[in-house]
Amino acid sequence: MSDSNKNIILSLENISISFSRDYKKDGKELTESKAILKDISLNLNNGEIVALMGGNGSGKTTLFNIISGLMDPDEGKVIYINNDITDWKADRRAKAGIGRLFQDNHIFQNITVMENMCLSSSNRVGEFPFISLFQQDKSRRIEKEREKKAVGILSELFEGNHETLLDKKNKLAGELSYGEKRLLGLARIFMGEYDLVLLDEPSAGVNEALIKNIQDMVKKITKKNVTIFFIEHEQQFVKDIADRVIYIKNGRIASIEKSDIII
Amino acid sequence: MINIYIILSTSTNLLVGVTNLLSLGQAAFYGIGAYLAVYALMILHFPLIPTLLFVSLFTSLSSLFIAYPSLRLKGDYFVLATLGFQLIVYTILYNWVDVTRGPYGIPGIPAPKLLGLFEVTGIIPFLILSTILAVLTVYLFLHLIHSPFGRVLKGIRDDEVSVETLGRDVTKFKVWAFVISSGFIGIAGVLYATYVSYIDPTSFNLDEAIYILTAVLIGGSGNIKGPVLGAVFVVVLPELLRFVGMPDNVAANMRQIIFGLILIVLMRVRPWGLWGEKRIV
Repeated sequence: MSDSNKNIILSLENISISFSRDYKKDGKELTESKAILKDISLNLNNGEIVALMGGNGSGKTTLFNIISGLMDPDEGKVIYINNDITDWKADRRAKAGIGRLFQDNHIFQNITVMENMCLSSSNRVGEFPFISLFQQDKSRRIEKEREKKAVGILSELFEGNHETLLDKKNKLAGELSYGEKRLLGLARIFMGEYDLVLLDEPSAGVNEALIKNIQDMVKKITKKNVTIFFIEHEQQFVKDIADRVIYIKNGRIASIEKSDIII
Repeated sequence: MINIYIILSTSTNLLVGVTNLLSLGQAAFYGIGAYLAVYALMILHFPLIPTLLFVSLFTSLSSLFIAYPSLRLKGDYFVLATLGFQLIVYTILYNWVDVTRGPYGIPGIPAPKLLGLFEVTGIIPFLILSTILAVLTVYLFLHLIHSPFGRVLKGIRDDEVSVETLGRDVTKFKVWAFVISSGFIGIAGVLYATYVSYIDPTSFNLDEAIYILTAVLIGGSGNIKGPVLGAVFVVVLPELLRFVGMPDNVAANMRQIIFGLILIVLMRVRPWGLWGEKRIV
Protein backbone atom coordinates (compact mmCIF):
# COMPACT_ATOMS: atom_id res chain seq x y z
CA MET A 1 0.00 0.00 0.00
CA SER A 2 1.43 3.39 -0.96
CA ASP A 3 1.67 6.29 1.52
CA SER A 4 -0.94 8.24 -0.42
CA ASN A 5 -3.39 5.32 -0.14
CA LYS A 6 -2.77 5.11 3.61
CA ASN A 7 -3.89 8.70 3.97
CA ILE A 8 -7.15 8.19 2.06
CA ILE A 9 -10.14 7.49 4.31
CA LEU A 10 -12.88 7.43 1.67
CA SER A 11 -12.65 6.74 -1.98
CA LEU A 12 -15.56 6.83 -4.41
CA GLU A 13 -14.90 5.05 -7.68
CA ASN A 14 -17.11 5.77 -10.69
CA ILE A 15 -20.35 6.09 -8.71
CA SER A 16 -23.46 6.34 -10.86
CA ILE A 17 -27.12 6.17 -9.92
CA SER A 18 -30.32 6.90 -11.75
CA PHE A 19 -33.96 6.95 -10.71
CA SER A 20 -36.63 5.66 -13.01
CA ARG A 21 -40.37 6.17 -13.16
CA ASP A 22 -43.09 4.39 -15.14
CA TYR A 23 -45.69 6.43 -16.96
CA LYS A 24 -48.30 6.06 -19.68
CA LYS A 25 -48.39 8.03 -22.92
CA ASP A 26 -50.84 7.43 -25.73
CA GLY A 27 -51.83 4.16 -24.05
CA LYS A 28 -48.25 2.88 -24.04
CA GLU A 29 -46.39 2.04 -20.83
CA LEU A 30 -43.06 3.82 -20.83
CA THR A 31 -40.16 4.06 -18.39
CA GLU A 32 -38.22 7.24 -17.93
CA SER A 33 -34.80 7.08 -16.35
CA LYS A 34 -33.04 10.12 -14.95
CA ALA A 35 -29.35 9.96 -14.09
CA ILE A 36 -28.76 11.60 -10.70
CA LEU A 37 -25.04 10.91 -10.34
CA LYS A 38 -22.74 10.14 -13.24
CA ASP A 39 -19.34 8.57 -12.83
CA ILE A 40 -18.40 10.29 -9.58
CA SER A 41 -14.86 9.58 -8.40
CA LEU A 42 -13.18 11.35 -5.52
CA ASN A 43 -10.92 10.78 -2.53
CA LEU A 44 -11.11 12.21 0.97
CA ASN A 45 -7.97 12.28 3.10
CA ASN A 46 -7.74 11.61 6.80
CA GLY A 47 -8.59 14.66 8.86
CA GLU A 48 -9.55 16.69 5.81
CA ILE A 49 -12.54 19.04 5.73
CA VAL A 50 -14.23 19.00 2.34
CA ALA A 51 -17.29 20.97 1.30
CA LEU A 52 -19.70 19.69 -1.33
CA MET A 53 -21.48 22.47 -3.17
CA GLY A 54 -23.93 22.60 -6.03
CA GLY A 55 -27.43 23.68 -6.97
CA ASN A 56 -30.66 22.12 -5.79
CA GLY A 57 -31.19 18.67 -7.30
CA SER A 58 -27.57 18.30 -8.29
CA GLY A 59 -27.27 15.01 -6.39
CA LYS A 60 -25.42 16.08 -3.24
CA THR A 61 -27.74 14.38 -0.73
CA THR A 62 -27.97 11.30 -2.96
CA LEU A 63 -24.18 11.05 -2.83
CA PHE A 64 -24.32 11.23 0.99
CA ASN A 65 -27.01 8.54 1.03
CA ILE A 66 -24.75 6.28 -1.03
CA ILE A 67 -21.78 6.86 1.29
CA SER A 68 -23.86 6.17 4.42
CA GLY A 69 -25.44 3.04 2.93
CA LEU A 70 -29.01 4.27 2.55
CA MET A 71 -28.91 3.89 -1.24
CA ASP A 72 -27.10 1.44 -3.48
CA PRO A 73 -25.31 2.86 -6.51
CA ASP A 74 -26.11 1.36 -9.91
CA GLU A 75 -22.41 1.28 -10.64
CA GLY A 76 -19.18 2.02 -8.82
CA LYS A 77 -17.55 1.31 -5.50
CA VAL A 78 -17.36 2.92 -2.09
CA ILE A 79 -13.99 2.25 -0.46
CA TYR A 80 -13.64 3.19 3.23
CA ILE A 81 -10.28 2.71 4.97
CA ASN A 82 -9.26 0.27 2.21
CA ASN A 83 -12.42 -1.84 2.58
CA ASP A 84 -14.95 -2.14 -0.20
CA ILE A 85 -18.11 -1.21 1.74
CA THR A 86 -20.41 -0.91 -1.29
CA ASP A 87 -22.54 -3.85 -0.06
CA TRP A 88 -22.46 -2.91 3.63
CA LYS A 89 -25.73 -1.89 5.30
CA ALA A 90 -26.04 1.54 6.94
CA ASP A 91 -25.67 0.23 10.50
CA ARG A 92 -22.43 -1.58 9.66
CA ARG A 93 -21.01 1.55 8.08
CA ALA A 94 -21.93 3.57 11.18
CA LYS A 95 -20.23 0.98 13.39
CA ALA A 96 -17.16 1.28 11.16
CA GLY A 97 -17.07 5.03 11.90
CA ILE A 98 -19.21 6.88 9.37
CA GLY A 99 -21.49 9.43 11.08
CA ARG A 100 -24.30 11.41 9.48
CA LEU A 101 -26.26 14.59 10.10
CA PHE A 102 -29.37 14.74 7.92
CA GLN A 103 -30.69 17.81 6.18
CA ASP A 104 -34.20 17.27 7.57
CA ASN A 105 -34.03 16.70 11.31
CA HIS A 106 -33.94 12.94 11.83
CA ILE A 107 -34.10 13.25 15.60
CA PHE A 108 -36.24 11.00 17.78
CA GLN A 109 -39.25 13.16 18.53
CA ASN A 110 -40.86 11.15 21.30
CA ILE A 111 -37.92 10.55 23.55
CA THR A 112 -36.10 13.18 25.60
CA VAL A 113 -33.05 15.18 24.60
CA MET A 114 -30.95 13.06 26.98
CA GLU A 115 -32.33 9.83 25.53
CA ASN A 116 -31.52 11.11 22.04
CA MET A 117 -27.95 11.68 23.14
CA CYS A 118 -27.62 8.26 24.80
CA LEU A 119 -29.13 6.46 21.80
CA SER A 120 -26.49 8.12 19.65
CA SER A 121 -23.64 6.75 21.73
CA SER A 122 -21.30 4.35 20.02
CA ASN A 123 -21.27 2.38 23.30
CA ARG A 124 -24.07 -0.08 22.58
CA VAL A 125 -23.50 -2.31 25.61
CA GLY A 126 -26.73 -2.88 27.56
CA GLU A 127 -28.95 -2.67 24.51
CA PHE A 128 -29.13 -6.46 24.31
CA PRO A 129 -32.48 -7.30 25.97
CA PHE A 130 -31.12 -9.92 28.37
CA ILE A 131 -28.46 -7.54 29.69
CA SER A 132 -31.20 -4.93 30.04
CA LEU A 133 -33.31 -7.39 32.05
CA PHE A 134 -30.99 -9.67 33.94
CA GLN A 135 -27.82 -7.63 34.39
CA GLN A 136 -29.43 -4.45 35.55
CA ASP A 137 -26.43 -3.30 37.60
CA LYS A 138 -24.18 -3.49 34.55
CA SER A 139 -26.82 -1.87 32.39
CA ARG A 140 -27.32 0.97 34.89
CA ARG A 141 -23.57 1.55 35.26
CA ILE A 142 -23.08 1.85 31.50
CA GLU A 143 -26.13 4.06 31.23
CA LYS A 144 -24.66 6.42 33.84
CA GLU A 145 -21.43 6.60 31.84
CA ARG A 146 -23.40 7.46 28.71
CA GLU A 147 -25.39 10.15 30.55
CA LYS A 148 -22.21 11.59 32.04
CA LYS A 149 -20.65 11.82 28.58
CA ALA A 150 -23.82 13.43 27.20
CA VAL A 151 -23.90 16.03 30.00
CA GLY A 152 -20.22 16.76 29.41
CA ILE A 153 -20.77 17.25 25.68
CA LEU A 154 -23.84 19.46 26.14
CA SER A 155 -22.06 21.58 28.78
CA GLU A 156 -18.99 22.03 26.62
CA LEU A 157 -20.86 22.76 23.42
CA PHE A 158 -23.06 25.43 24.92
CA GLU A 159 -20.61 26.98 27.35
CA GLY A 160 -21.53 30.60 28.03
CA ASN A 161 -24.98 30.40 26.44
CA HIS A 162 -27.99 31.51 28.47
CA GLU A 163 -30.34 28.67 27.69
CA THR A 164 -28.92 25.42 26.42
CA LEU A 165 -29.99 21.92 25.46
CA LEU A 166 -28.63 20.82 28.82
CA ASP A 167 -31.40 22.79 30.51
CA LYS A 168 -33.89 20.96 28.29
CA LYS A 169 -32.39 17.51 28.65
CA ASN A 170 -35.60 16.03 30.04
CA LYS A 171 -37.83 17.64 27.44
CA LEU A 172 -39.17 15.62 24.50
CA ALA A 173 -36.98 16.32 21.49
CA GLY A 174 -40.09 16.89 19.38
CA GLU A 175 -40.95 19.91 21.55
CA LEU A 176 -37.73 21.73 20.65
CA SER A 177 -37.66 24.52 18.09
CA TYR A 178 -36.33 23.76 14.59
CA GLY A 179 -32.98 25.38 15.37
CA GLU A 180 -32.64 23.47 18.64
CA LYS A 181 -33.33 20.24 16.79
CA ARG A 182 -30.45 21.08 14.44
CA LEU A 183 -28.24 21.68 17.47
CA LEU A 184 -29.31 18.37 18.97
CA GLY A 185 -28.59 16.60 15.69
CA LEU A 186 -25.07 18.00 15.74
CA ALA A 187 -24.59 17.31 19.46
CA ARG A 188 -25.47 13.66 18.79
CA ILE A 189 -22.48 13.42 16.43
CA PHE A 190 -20.21 14.02 19.44
CA MET A 191 -21.63 10.93 21.19
CA GLY A 192 -20.28 8.64 18.47
CA GLU A 193 -16.73 7.62 17.73
CA TYR A 194 -16.57 8.57 14.08
CA ASP A 195 -13.67 8.85 11.66
CA LEU A 196 -15.76 10.36 8.89
CA VAL A 197 -18.74 12.65 9.44
CA LEU A 198 -21.20 13.63 6.71
CA LEU A 199 -23.02 16.87 7.46
CA ASP A 200 -25.92 17.73 5.19
CA GLU A 201 -26.46 21.50 5.35
CA PRO A 202 -25.89 21.91 9.09
CA SER A 203 -26.95 25.55 9.19
CA ALA A 204 -29.87 25.40 6.74
CA GLY A 205 -33.17 26.91 7.84
CA VAL A 206 -32.01 28.38 11.16
CA ASN A 207 -31.90 32.00 12.28
CA GLU A 208 -28.77 34.16 12.36
CA ALA A 209 -28.19 33.71 16.08
CA LEU A 210 -28.21 29.95 15.82
CA ILE A 211 -26.10 29.82 12.65
CA LYS A 212 -23.11 31.01 14.66
CA ASN A 213 -23.84 28.40 17.32
CA ILE A 214 -24.00 25.67 14.70
CA GLN A 215 -20.88 26.84 12.94
CA ASP A 216 -19.03 26.85 16.26
CA MET A 217 -20.16 23.26 16.82
CA VAL A 218 -18.94 22.18 13.39
CA LYS A 219 -15.61 23.85 14.12
CA LYS A 220 -15.43 21.87 17.35
CA ILE A 221 -15.90 18.63 15.37
CA THR A 222 -13.00 19.67 13.15
CA LYS A 223 -10.76 19.82 16.20
CA LYS A 224 -11.36 16.10 16.86
CA ASN A 225 -9.23 15.16 13.84
CA VAL A 226 -12.28 13.72 12.14
CA THR A 227 -12.69 13.86 8.38
CA ILE A 228 -15.65 16.06 7.56
CA PHE A 229 -17.53 16.00 4.29
CA PHE A 230 -20.25 18.61 4.35
CA ILE A 231 -22.90 20.15 2.14
CA GLU A 232 -23.27 23.88 2.70
CA HIS A 233 -24.46 26.96 0.85
CA GLU A 234 -23.02 29.52 3.29
CA GLN A 235 -19.88 30.49 1.35
CA GLN A 236 -18.08 32.35 4.12
CA PHE A 237 -18.50 29.39 6.43
CA VAL A 238 -17.11 27.05 3.75
CA LYS A 239 -14.16 29.38 3.23
CA ASP A 240 -13.56 29.50 7.00
CA ILE A 241 -13.31 25.78 7.61
CA ALA A 242 -12.98 23.78 4.39
CA ASP A 243 -9.68 22.58 2.94
CA ARG A 244 -11.24 21.78 -0.42
CA VAL A 245 -14.52 22.43 -2.19
CA ILE A 246 -16.08 19.98 -4.61
CA TYR A 247 -18.64 21.47 -7.00
CA ILE A 248 -21.23 19.14 -8.40
CA LYS A 249 -23.40 20.04 -11.38
CA ASN A 250 -25.99 17.88 -13.12
CA GLY A 251 -24.72 14.80 -11.29
CA ARG A 252 -21.08 15.24 -12.32
CA ILE A 253 -18.12 16.73 -10.52
CA ALA A 254 -17.66 20.11 -12.12
CA SER A 255 -14.52 21.09 -10.22
CA ILE A 256 -12.45 20.43 -7.12
CA GLU A 257 -10.84 23.55 -5.72
CA LYS A 258 -8.95 24.78 -2.70
CA SER A 259 -11.43 26.64 -0.49
CA ASP A 260 -9.45 29.89 -0.50
CA ILE A 261 -10.50 30.56 -4.07
CA ILE A 262 -14.09 31.20 -2.94
CA ILE A 263 -14.81 34.90 -3.32
CA MET B 1 -59.41 -13.13 32.57
CA ILE B 2 -58.17 -9.63 33.48
CA ASN B 3 -54.76 -11.04 34.35
CA ILE B 4 -54.61 -13.00 31.09
CA TYR B 5 -55.45 -9.85 29.14
CA ILE B 6 -52.89 -7.84 31.08
CA ILE B 7 -50.24 -10.28 29.86
CA LEU B 8 -51.61 -10.15 26.31
CA SER B 9 -51.84 -6.38 26.14
CA THR B 10 -48.50 -5.56 27.80
CA SER B 11 -46.76 -8.05 25.48
CA THR B 12 -48.51 -6.66 22.41
CA ASN B 13 -47.64 -3.12 23.54
CA LEU B 14 -43.92 -3.88 23.09
CA LEU B 15 -44.63 -4.31 19.37
CA VAL B 16 -47.47 -1.88 18.76
CA GLY B 17 -46.78 0.93 21.21
CA VAL B 18 -43.04 0.84 21.71
CA THR B 19 -41.74 -0.31 18.32
CA ASN B 20 -44.65 0.82 16.11
CA LEU B 21 -45.20 -2.63 14.60
CA LEU B 22 -48.93 -3.09 14.17
CA SER B 23 -49.32 -6.85 14.39
CA LEU B 24 -52.57 -8.66 13.64
CA GLY B 25 -50.99 -12.02 14.45
CA GLN B 26 -51.04 -11.90 18.25
CA ALA B 27 -53.99 -14.28 18.60
CA ALA B 28 -52.05 -16.84 16.55
CA PHE B 29 -49.29 -16.89 19.19
CA TYR B 30 -51.93 -17.00 21.91
CA GLY B 31 -53.38 -20.09 20.22
CA ILE B 32 -49.98 -21.69 19.67
CA GLY B 33 -49.31 -21.16 23.40
CA ALA B 34 -52.64 -22.70 24.41
CA TYR B 35 -52.24 -25.78 22.17
CA LEU B 36 -48.62 -26.24 23.26
CA ALA B 37 -49.85 -26.09 26.87
CA VAL B 38 -52.22 -28.96 26.11
CA TYR B 39 -49.31 -30.93 24.67
CA ALA B 40 -47.09 -30.19 27.67
CA LEU B 41 -49.76 -30.92 30.30
CA MET B 42 -51.68 -33.85 28.75
CA ILE B 43 -48.99 -35.69 26.78
CA LEU B 44 -45.66 -34.77 28.37
CA HIS B 45 -47.29 -34.45 31.84
CA PHE B 46 -45.11 -31.47 32.70
CA PRO B 47 -45.73 -29.62 35.97
CA LEU B 48 -46.55 -25.89 35.86
CA ILE B 49 -43.15 -24.20 35.68
CA PRO B 50 -41.66 -26.50 33.00
CA THR B 51 -44.92 -26.07 31.04
CA LEU B 52 -44.58 -22.28 31.18
CA LEU B 53 -40.93 -22.42 30.12
CA PHE B 54 -41.60 -24.97 27.36
CA VAL B 55 -44.53 -23.04 25.92
CA SER B 56 -42.81 -19.68 26.19
CA LEU B 57 -39.68 -20.99 24.47
CA PHE B 58 -41.51 -22.69 21.60
CA THR B 59 -43.94 -19.81 21.04
CA SER B 60 -40.93 -17.49 20.81
CA LEU B 61 -39.26 -19.83 18.34
CA SER B 62 -42.44 -20.10 16.27
CA SER B 63 -42.47 -16.31 16.01
CA LEU B 64 -39.18 -16.45 14.09
CA PHE B 65 -41.05 -18.00 11.14
CA ILE B 66 -43.00 -14.80 10.73
CA ALA B 67 -40.52 -12.35 12.26
CA TYR B 68 -37.62 -12.65 9.82
CA PRO B 69 -39.50 -12.53 6.54
CA SER B 70 -42.11 -9.96 7.59
CA LEU B 71 -39.95 -7.56 9.57
CA ARG B 72 -38.13 -6.53 6.42
CA LEU B 73 -41.50 -5.27 5.23
CA LYS B 74 -42.70 -1.84 6.23
CA GLY B 75 -46.00 -0.24 7.19
CA ASP B 76 -49.10 -1.75 5.58
CA TYR B 77 -47.15 -4.65 4.07
CA PHE B 78 -46.04 -5.75 7.53
CA VAL B 79 -49.62 -5.57 8.86
CA LEU B 80 -50.81 -7.71 5.93
CA ALA B 81 -48.02 -10.25 6.52
CA THR B 82 -49.07 -10.67 10.18
CA LEU B 83 -52.70 -10.95 9.06
CA GLY B 84 -51.62 -13.74 6.68
CA PHE B 85 -49.82 -15.50 9.53
CA GLN B 86 -52.90 -15.21 11.75
CA LEU B 87 -55.10 -16.75 9.05
CA ILE B 88 -52.62 -19.57 8.37
CA VAL B 89 -52.33 -20.54 12.04
CA TYR B 90 -56.11 -20.41 12.50
CA THR B 91 -56.63 -22.58 9.40
CA ILE B 92 -54.11 -25.13 10.66
CA LEU B 93 -55.69 -25.24 14.13
CA TYR B 94 -59.12 -25.64 12.55
CA ASN B 95 -58.28 -28.25 9.92
CA TRP B 96 -55.48 -30.38 11.38
CA VAL B 97 -58.07 -32.48 13.17
CA ASP B 98 -55.71 -35.39 13.99
CA VAL B 99 -53.61 -33.12 16.18
CA THR B 100 -55.87 -30.26 17.31
CA ARG B 101 -59.28 -32.00 17.03
CA GLY B 102 -60.21 -29.01 14.85
CA PRO B 103 -63.64 -27.52 15.51
CA TYR B 104 -64.41 -30.15 18.18
CA GLY B 105 -61.82 -28.56 20.42
CA ILE B 106 -59.89 -30.17 23.25
CA PRO B 107 -61.83 -30.69 26.49
CA GLY B 108 -60.64 -31.79 29.90
CA ILE B 109 -57.39 -29.84 30.04
CA PRO B 110 -56.01 -30.62 33.50
CA ALA B 111 -55.12 -28.02 36.07
CA PRO B 112 -51.34 -27.57 36.22
CA LYS B 113 -49.41 -28.89 39.21
CA LEU B 114 -47.04 -26.60 41.05
CA LEU B 115 -43.75 -28.44 41.64
CA GLY B 116 -45.63 -31.60 40.65
CA LEU B 117 -47.47 -31.57 44.00
CA PHE B 118 -50.13 -28.86 44.39
CA GLU B 119 -52.82 -28.73 41.74
CA VAL B 120 -53.75 -25.17 40.81
CA THR B 121 -57.47 -25.73 40.67
CA GLY B 122 -60.40 -23.53 41.65
CA ILE B 123 -60.90 -19.81 41.36
CA ILE B 124 -58.69 -18.57 44.22
CA PRO B 125 -55.52 -20.60 43.46
CA PHE B 126 -55.87 -19.71 39.78
CA LEU B 127 -56.37 -16.05 40.64
CA ILE B 128 -53.18 -16.12 42.73
CA LEU B 129 -51.21 -17.87 39.98
CA SER B 130 -52.46 -15.57 37.20
CA THR B 131 -51.85 -12.48 39.36
CA ILE B 132 -48.28 -13.55 40.07
CA LEU B 133 -47.63 -14.11 36.36
CA ALA B 134 -49.33 -10.86 35.35
CA VAL B 135 -47.35 -8.86 37.94
CA LEU B 136 -44.12 -10.54 36.82
CA THR B 137 -44.91 -9.74 33.18
CA VAL B 138 -45.71 -6.11 33.98
CA TYR B 139 -42.50 -5.81 36.04
CA LEU B 140 -40.32 -7.27 33.27
CA PHE B 141 -41.88 -5.16 30.52
CA LEU B 142 -41.63 -2.04 32.68
CA HIS B 143 -37.88 -2.62 32.97
CA LEU B 144 -37.55 -3.51 29.31
CA ILE B 145 -39.34 -0.38 28.08
CA HIS B 146 -37.18 1.88 30.28
CA SER B 147 -33.94 0.08 29.45
CA PRO B 148 -31.45 0.94 26.68
CA PHE B 149 -33.10 -1.85 24.66
CA GLY B 150 -36.48 -0.16 25.01
CA ARG B 151 -34.92 3.15 24.01
CA VAL B 152 -33.68 1.63 20.74
CA LEU B 153 -37.19 0.29 20.08
CA LYS B 154 -38.63 3.77 20.71
CA GLY B 155 -36.01 5.15 18.35
CA ILE B 156 -37.19 2.70 15.69
CA ARG B 157 -40.76 3.86 16.31
CA ASP B 158 -39.75 7.46 15.63
CA ASP B 159 -37.19 7.10 12.86
CA GLU B 160 -35.85 3.80 11.55
CA VAL B 161 -33.38 5.40 9.14
CA SER B 162 -31.79 7.42 11.90
CA VAL B 163 -31.41 4.34 14.10
CA GLU B 164 -29.65 2.52 11.23
CA THR B 165 -27.22 5.39 10.73
CA LEU B 166 -26.40 5.29 14.45
CA GLY B 167 -25.10 1.74 14.04
CA ARG B 168 -28.07 -0.28 15.25
CA ASP B 169 -29.38 -3.23 13.22
CA VAL B 170 -33.08 -2.36 13.07
CA THR B 171 -34.20 -5.81 11.88
CA LYS B 172 -32.38 -7.52 14.76
CA PHE B 173 -34.08 -5.29 17.34
CA LYS B 174 -37.49 -5.83 15.78
CA VAL B 175 -36.96 -9.60 15.83
CA TRP B 176 -36.09 -9.40 19.54
CA ALA B 177 -39.24 -7.40 20.22
CA PHE B 178 -41.29 -9.96 18.32
CA VAL B 179 -39.69 -12.95 20.05
CA ILE B 180 -40.06 -11.51 23.56
CA SER B 181 -43.65 -10.43 22.95
CA SER B 182 -44.60 -13.86 21.54
CA GLY B 183 -42.95 -15.70 24.44
CA PHE B 184 -45.13 -13.88 26.97
CA ILE B 185 -48.24 -14.27 24.84
CA GLY B 186 -47.54 -18.02 24.97
CA ILE B 187 -47.73 -17.78 28.78
CA ALA B 188 -51.16 -16.15 28.46
CA GLY B 189 -52.11 -19.14 26.27
CA VAL B 190 -51.13 -21.55 29.06
CA LEU B 191 -53.22 -19.62 31.57
CA TYR B 192 -56.22 -19.51 29.25
CA ALA B 193 -56.09 -23.23 28.39
CA THR B 194 -55.86 -24.26 32.05
CA TYR B 195 -58.45 -21.69 33.20
CA VAL B 196 -61.23 -22.68 30.80
CA SER B 197 -60.04 -26.35 30.54
CA TYR B 198 -61.38 -26.46 26.96
CA ILE B 199 -59.95 -24.82 23.88
CA ASP B 200 -60.98 -24.66 20.25
CA PRO B 201 -59.67 -22.57 17.34
CA THR B 202 -62.42 -19.93 17.54
CA SER B 203 -60.80 -18.52 20.69
CA PHE B 204 -57.72 -17.60 18.62
CA ASN B 205 -59.18 -16.13 15.44
CA LEU B 206 -58.84 -12.70 13.86
CA ASP B 207 -61.56 -11.27 16.12
CA GLU B 208 -59.42 -12.16 19.12
CA ALA B 209 -56.35 -10.54 17.52
CA ILE B 210 -58.32 -7.33 17.03
CA TYR B 211 -59.67 -7.59 20.56
CA ILE B 212 -56.12 -7.74 21.96
CA LEU B 213 -55.12 -4.81 19.79
CA THR B 214 -58.18 -2.88 20.96
CA ALA B 215 -57.10 -3.32 24.59
CA VAL B 216 -53.72 -1.73 23.79
CA LEU B 217 -55.14 1.08 21.65
CA ILE B 218 -57.93 2.03 24.05
CA GLY B 219 -55.90 1.79 27.26
CA GLY B 220 -52.95 3.47 25.64
CA SER B 221 -49.64 2.41 24.21
CA GLY B 222 -45.96 3.12 24.71
CA ASN B 223 -45.94 2.74 28.50
CA ILE B 224 -47.17 0.05 30.90
CA LYS B 225 -50.15 1.63 32.64
CA GLY B 226 -52.02 2.15 29.35
CA PRO B 227 -52.11 -1.53 28.29
CA VAL B 228 -52.99 -2.58 31.85
CA LEU B 229 -55.93 -0.15 31.89
CA GLY B 230 -56.95 -1.37 28.43
CA ALA B 231 -56.94 -5.00 29.58
CA VAL B 232 -59.15 -4.16 32.55
CA PHE B 233 -61.44 -2.13 30.33
CA VAL B 234 -62.03 -4.77 27.63
CA VAL B 235 -62.71 -7.49 30.19
CA VAL B 236 -64.86 -5.44 32.57
CA LEU B 237 -67.01 -3.64 29.97
CA PRO B 238 -68.92 -6.77 28.83
CA GLU B 239 -69.56 -7.67 32.47
CA LEU B 240 -70.92 -4.18 33.11
CA LEU B 241 -73.24 -4.50 30.11
CA ARG B 242 -74.52 -7.77 31.53
CA PHE B 243 -74.84 -6.09 34.94
CA VAL B 244 -77.17 -3.43 33.52
CA GLY B 245 -79.45 -6.21 32.36
CA MET B 246 -78.55 -6.39 28.69
CA PRO B 247 -79.13 -9.84 27.21
CA ASP B 248 -75.95 -11.72 26.23
CA ASN B 249 -76.52 -11.62 22.46
CA VAL B 250 -77.20 -7.87 22.53
CA ALA B 251 -74.32 -7.21 24.95
CA ALA B 252 -71.83 -8.89 22.60
CA ASN B 253 -72.86 -6.64 19.69
CA MET B 254 -73.06 -3.58 21.91
CA ARG B 255 -69.53 -4.28 23.16
CA GLN B 256 -68.20 -4.25 19.57
CA ILE B 257 -70.04 -1.00 18.81
CA ILE B 258 -68.77 0.68 21.98
CA PHE B 259 -65.17 -0.42 21.29
CA GLY B 260 -65.46 0.78 17.69
CA LEU B 261 -66.82 4.17 18.74
CA ILE B 262 -64.17 4.63 21.41
CA LEU B 263 -61.43 3.78 18.91
CA ILE B 264 -62.76 6.30 16.36
CA VAL B 265 -62.95 9.07 18.97
CA LEU B 266 -59.54 8.22 20.44
CA MET B 267 -57.76 8.12 17.09
CA ARG B 268 -59.16 11.60 16.46
CA VAL B 269 -58.45 13.28 19.80
CA ARG B 270 -55.95 11.13 21.66
CA PRO B 271 -54.15 8.67 19.37
CA TRP B 272 -51.92 7.41 22.20
CA GLY B 273 -54.96 6.06 24.08
CA LEU B 274 -56.61 6.85 27.41
CA TRP B 275 -53.51 6.45 29.58
CA GLY B 276 -50.73 5.86 27.07
CA GLU B 277 -47.49 7.71 26.57
CA LYS B 278 -48.22 11.12 25.08
CA ARG B 279 -46.77 11.37 21.61
CA ILE B 280 -46.05 14.09 19.11
CA VAL B 281 -47.81 12.95 15.96
